[in-house]
Amino acid sequence: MDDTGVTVRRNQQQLQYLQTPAFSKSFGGSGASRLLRDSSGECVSSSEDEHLAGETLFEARVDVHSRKKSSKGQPVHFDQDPSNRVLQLQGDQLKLKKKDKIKAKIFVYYVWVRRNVSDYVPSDSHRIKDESLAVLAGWHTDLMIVTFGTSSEKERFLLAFQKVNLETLRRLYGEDAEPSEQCQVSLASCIQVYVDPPSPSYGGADAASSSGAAVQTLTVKPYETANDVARKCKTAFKLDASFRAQLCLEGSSGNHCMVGCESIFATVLYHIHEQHKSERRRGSVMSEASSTSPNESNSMDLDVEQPTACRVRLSLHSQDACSAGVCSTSKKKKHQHQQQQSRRASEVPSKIRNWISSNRRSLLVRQASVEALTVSGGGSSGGISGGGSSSGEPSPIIGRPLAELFPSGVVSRPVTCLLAQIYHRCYATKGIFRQPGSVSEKNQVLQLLSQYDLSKPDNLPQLNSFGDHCIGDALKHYLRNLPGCLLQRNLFGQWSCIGRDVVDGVLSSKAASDEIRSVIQQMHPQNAHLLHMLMTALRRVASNHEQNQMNPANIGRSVSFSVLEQDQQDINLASMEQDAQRINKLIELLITNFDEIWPDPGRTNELSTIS
Amino acid sequence: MSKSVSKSVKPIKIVVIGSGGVGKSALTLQFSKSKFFLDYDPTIEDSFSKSCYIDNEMARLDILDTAGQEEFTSMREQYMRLGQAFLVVFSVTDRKGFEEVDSLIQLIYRVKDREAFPIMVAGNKIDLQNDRCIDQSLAQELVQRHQEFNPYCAYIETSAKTRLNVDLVFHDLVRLLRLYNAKGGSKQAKKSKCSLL
Repeated sequence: MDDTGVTVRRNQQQLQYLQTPAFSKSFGGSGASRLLRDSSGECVSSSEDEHLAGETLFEARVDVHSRKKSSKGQPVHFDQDPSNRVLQLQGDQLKLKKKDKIKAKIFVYYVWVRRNVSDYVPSDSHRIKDESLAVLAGWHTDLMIVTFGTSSEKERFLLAFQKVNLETLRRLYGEDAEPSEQCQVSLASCIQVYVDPPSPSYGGADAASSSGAAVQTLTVKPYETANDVARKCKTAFKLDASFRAQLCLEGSSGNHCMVGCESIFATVLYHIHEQHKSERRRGSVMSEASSTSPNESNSMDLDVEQPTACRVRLSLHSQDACSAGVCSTSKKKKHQHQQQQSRRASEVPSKIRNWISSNRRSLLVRQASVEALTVSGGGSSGGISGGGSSSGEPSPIIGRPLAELFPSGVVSRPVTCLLAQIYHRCYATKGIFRQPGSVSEKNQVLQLLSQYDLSKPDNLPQLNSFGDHCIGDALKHYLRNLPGCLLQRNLFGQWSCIGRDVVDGVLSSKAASDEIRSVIQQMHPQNAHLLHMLMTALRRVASNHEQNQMNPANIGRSVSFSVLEQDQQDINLASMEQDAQRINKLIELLITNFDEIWPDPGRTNELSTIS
Repeated sequence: MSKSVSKSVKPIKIVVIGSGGVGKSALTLQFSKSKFFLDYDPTIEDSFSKSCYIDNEMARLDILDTAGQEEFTSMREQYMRLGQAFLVVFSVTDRKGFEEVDSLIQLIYRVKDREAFPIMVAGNKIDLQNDRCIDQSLAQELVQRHQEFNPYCAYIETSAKTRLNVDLVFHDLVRLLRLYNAKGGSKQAKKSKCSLL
């Protein structure tokens, strides 16, 4: 992996921290060379793979922008009594919080993620609050919530984060192949809350166990933070002020995930690893999980539905949660609860149980449920889904480069299927691409696209039953998630110039068409092909603007951000607005000058042939 | 009122957010320019300024009209950081837009890192009674849920076309902001009680 990394030796352990290029690129950092300093405070490492000498005491410091002017630039020691501090990532800043006060803000590109995390599943050691083993350099293993500005930011973070873990998995598998460049992590989750004792006004009594605990599941939405969830729980269960909801899931949920709390994440990895081992042992693809019902709480089960897609559903149970005194129950009830916990815990494989008990001690997690769909993209080499590839495996469509998906240069179904829906069905819908569709429907469409099997081209997703706006949303979502954008980010300058010249009146419409054609010739054939089909559909939408009120200019405004976006590092609000105007004009031109840009009449009707 | 007076007043930054096509721009334009445009132009970003007396006190409003589409989320968050008060608009004829209101309010809390903040929810297009699919009670219920934590949250129904409650929605938002500032809201501790211990 091409990255800058540092190795820290401590107590005869060698830990390597790195900032992957993807990580720093995603978050605008050029490297975290200032992170590691020796005990005298001197910066000792800034180059690639430079080792800290001997038994140098590991000490992580970061430059921070403190709120106090006087302390601006002063380093913060993570190892200063971190027990009551929480590290929270919001947007591009890590916030070091003590109780409700922000003690420091740290730019995220200073963060170093640890390489080789195989000891996520330790044998016997207790390593609570051992910052030397943390995922993030210098921070102990607990108490970190990561909240991102958007879901896509989280996805990027997880992508970068998972690369580190993929490397570990690869090592575990003994494979030398590079992990796939394209791996998607799509995570959704829900939270299960115990009400113990049940609130009188709480209606979910059917789930109440013999100990008096009632279980209810709440879905965690993408934008909700831990506090939001807490508040939501209190509202949903009509809890009085004396009650403290015992929450906190968060292997990952929506746009936030708990990174420092490794247990959930690690257990997923552990299961995938175990699963993979058993697959290898059997020499064939297996499809089994555990015998426990997925609905049963405190169970861990692994359903491998496909060779390359592991669907992991797990619930963790902290044995220490009750003793942590989360809620005030009577001794009898407490005892009953402990018994129940022990019984349930015995259902969990002993290795995992040991692992959890040694790692979850300080967390007040009563119950956590994570559903993670981890999909590896790069075919048979490396990655989570490594060896078991065979014909018939599903290939995710969303978030993968067109060149990889359609090496023949022809964009095939189901992308065309989505465009055909616009072309044949949704073209006259008022506000198409502007007004939002149902989020759940959109997700269903995306799910169908993700499940599409490229090796079975005739098995097309059925999209007729979905709303017009949600088809438009799904198409924009697909385009937004194309790596490098449909119009290719590397050509941004050229596209922007054309847009600028037209806006400024320097370029005539015809000359602009010639310019556009020349830039299209520089595009990847697959991108160019998809662009042509997209514009075919958009032209039809625009031609019905009297019905749908979406003229070329409106379509340009609604679609431009989905087809071309500036590099995240270069974005600022002022330039965004200026560029948006230019790219809007460009899309407008692509629609209005369609016949000049793509004069071949044979290709024009491509979408019309798809039923 | 004289220009010099209005310029000496510190502007109040109001950010108008909501799903696409719900009438954010129409509301803003009706308030600032007293015009209702029939154009169907998606907004990327527009800003307007208007000075007026609210409760005998001068207020200079800097209103930022934002894009409603999902792809502008990153921009939206940047706007939100600047906002002192928020007008969350939905159309009473569009269920999907209404479903997004809750998430937008949550986003405000998260971006502002506060549990309470001046937020006015506006149910727009009430002149289209025949197409109405969101009852007033439904919207009020949503707002009441937020009021449990955020006393500076309120709901008003509007019609940009008929100018019904257009001034009121902005004026009340300024009142909420003044109340919030008077109670020291802006100086209060940010979100507390991290659930993760």
